Amino acid sequence: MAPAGLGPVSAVFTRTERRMWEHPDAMGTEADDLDDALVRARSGDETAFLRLWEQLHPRLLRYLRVLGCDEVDDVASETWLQVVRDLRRFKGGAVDFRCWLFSIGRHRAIDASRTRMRMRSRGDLLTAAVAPMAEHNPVEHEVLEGLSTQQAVALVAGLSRDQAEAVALRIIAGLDTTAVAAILGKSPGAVRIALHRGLRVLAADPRIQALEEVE
Amino acid sequence: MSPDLPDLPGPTDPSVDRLIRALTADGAADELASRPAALVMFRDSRRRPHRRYSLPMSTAAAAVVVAAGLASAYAAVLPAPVQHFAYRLLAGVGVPDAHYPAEQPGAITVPSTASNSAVTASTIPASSHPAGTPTPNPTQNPVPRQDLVLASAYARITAGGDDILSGRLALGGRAEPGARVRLLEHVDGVAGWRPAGRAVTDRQGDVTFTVQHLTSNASFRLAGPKGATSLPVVVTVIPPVSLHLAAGRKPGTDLLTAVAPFADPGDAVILQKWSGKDWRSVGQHLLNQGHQAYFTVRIPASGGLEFRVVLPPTRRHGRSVSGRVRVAVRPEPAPHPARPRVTRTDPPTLP
Repeated sequence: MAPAGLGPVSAVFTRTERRMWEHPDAMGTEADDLDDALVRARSGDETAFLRLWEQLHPRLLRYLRVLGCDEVDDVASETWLQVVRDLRRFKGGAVDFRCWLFSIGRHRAIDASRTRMRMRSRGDLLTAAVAPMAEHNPVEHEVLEGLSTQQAVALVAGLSRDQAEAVALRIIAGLDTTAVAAILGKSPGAVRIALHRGLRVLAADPRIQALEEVE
Repeated sequence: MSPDLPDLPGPTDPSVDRLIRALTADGAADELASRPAALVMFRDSRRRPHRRYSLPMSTAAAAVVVAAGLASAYAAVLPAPVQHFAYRLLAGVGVPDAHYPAEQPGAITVPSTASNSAVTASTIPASSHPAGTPTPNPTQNPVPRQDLVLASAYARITAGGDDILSGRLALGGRAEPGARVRLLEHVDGVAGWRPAGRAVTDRQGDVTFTVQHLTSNASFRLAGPKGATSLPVVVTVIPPVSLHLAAGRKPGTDLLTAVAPFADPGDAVILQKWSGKDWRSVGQHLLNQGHQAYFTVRIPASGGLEFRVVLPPTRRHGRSVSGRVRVAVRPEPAPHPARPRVTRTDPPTLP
């Protein structure tokens, strides 16, 4: 039984020397669950909608953080607002829904970024009090505490824009390369290259290497 | 091997595996904290359909509308094409047309209840005429026959966003191609209607307007030839509101700043605290000229508190809610590890 997320997929990655990318059906159970939830949510089933939301909202937040979105919660709310508004007219399965959701999220994040830039350029918006940055965690701390989701997202966000988006959409959003390419407006080959390079950079990151040493 | 397979550094790289596991972990409590809000959003969307032409009526309500429309069409004295077209246009909103008097040029009568916007149109069939025979007396409740109809793609949009308005002109039951129609706009708080655009109908009698950068609630309607006018369509604007955390001036306090760029100075902003079960209002301030409001909160001795702000609806915008912000004791910045002090030494001098 596959729990939420891609845990079993990761297990496949390590135990059988096959990676999640080699298993297009690896997310099958989750996709089936979401297919069912999607059908019921479209007919107004609140429980089913919450199941969709609980599965995908955390991933959406992480993806938006990778994009460097300042107001992640707001953008995510706007994304879901559009989703629930247009859910009746949505046609497709869970995979399509996932692609649709993250595509909307990306557009809303870009809109938010543009709005912020406009505001700054017009000087209409006073300088908002900004939340203090989290204290930088030294490598030792991360190793001792284990790699949290937040830190993992920060590592991905540290990649170049192309690589970060490719990794985020492929791994966090769980989309296939074709869908990622469609969202980013690039060729699947370009996405594969960005993904490959991004993962290689991550694997070579000293913080990741330190994790390996602890193992 | 799949062509989709990237060349990873190693097939059994435990650290990358751990990274992937962390990225795809189940949602944490803070990530799922807005679950109630999501549910409210979903419920709200089910109650308020946003597309006039895709009204999600229940089977019973749809049956009521169809029966009412057919009865109206069969019993009417209007020419058949008129009845047919009126039925086709108005079936979606449940307003039978055949019993209404001919439209008086220039006279626009907007019903006071429910049918003046895409948002409320769906409530007509079930609530106004539960018996399924909605044949109001024209003298008591005059409703003009609609030769011109207008619908908005979205009844609620984020401030600064765009909306699409679609209209159709059919005089006497026949589509009117090539006719000039004007889009009129009424902004809440501003008296009267003002022209917002004009267009020429296509072969099907259709026109489409894109309204850009809406920053406050607005109503739209179409005006066409021979005094044809549409019912107004209301678009509600939702101004984003965000909440930012900074250290307070006094020790042991934090400063929460609510920012709502598209709301008006003087609008109220309500600070709410998460009690563990629900949100409780704990303070209220008005937005200043910079569209900001400040709240000072005490930092709890242990644990944390979660806050959000709510921007109540006004005539100019709809209700908006910020994301949540957690106020907690922040750990003191860790001292930098002692670095070996480098002291410059003078080069040895030879005696």
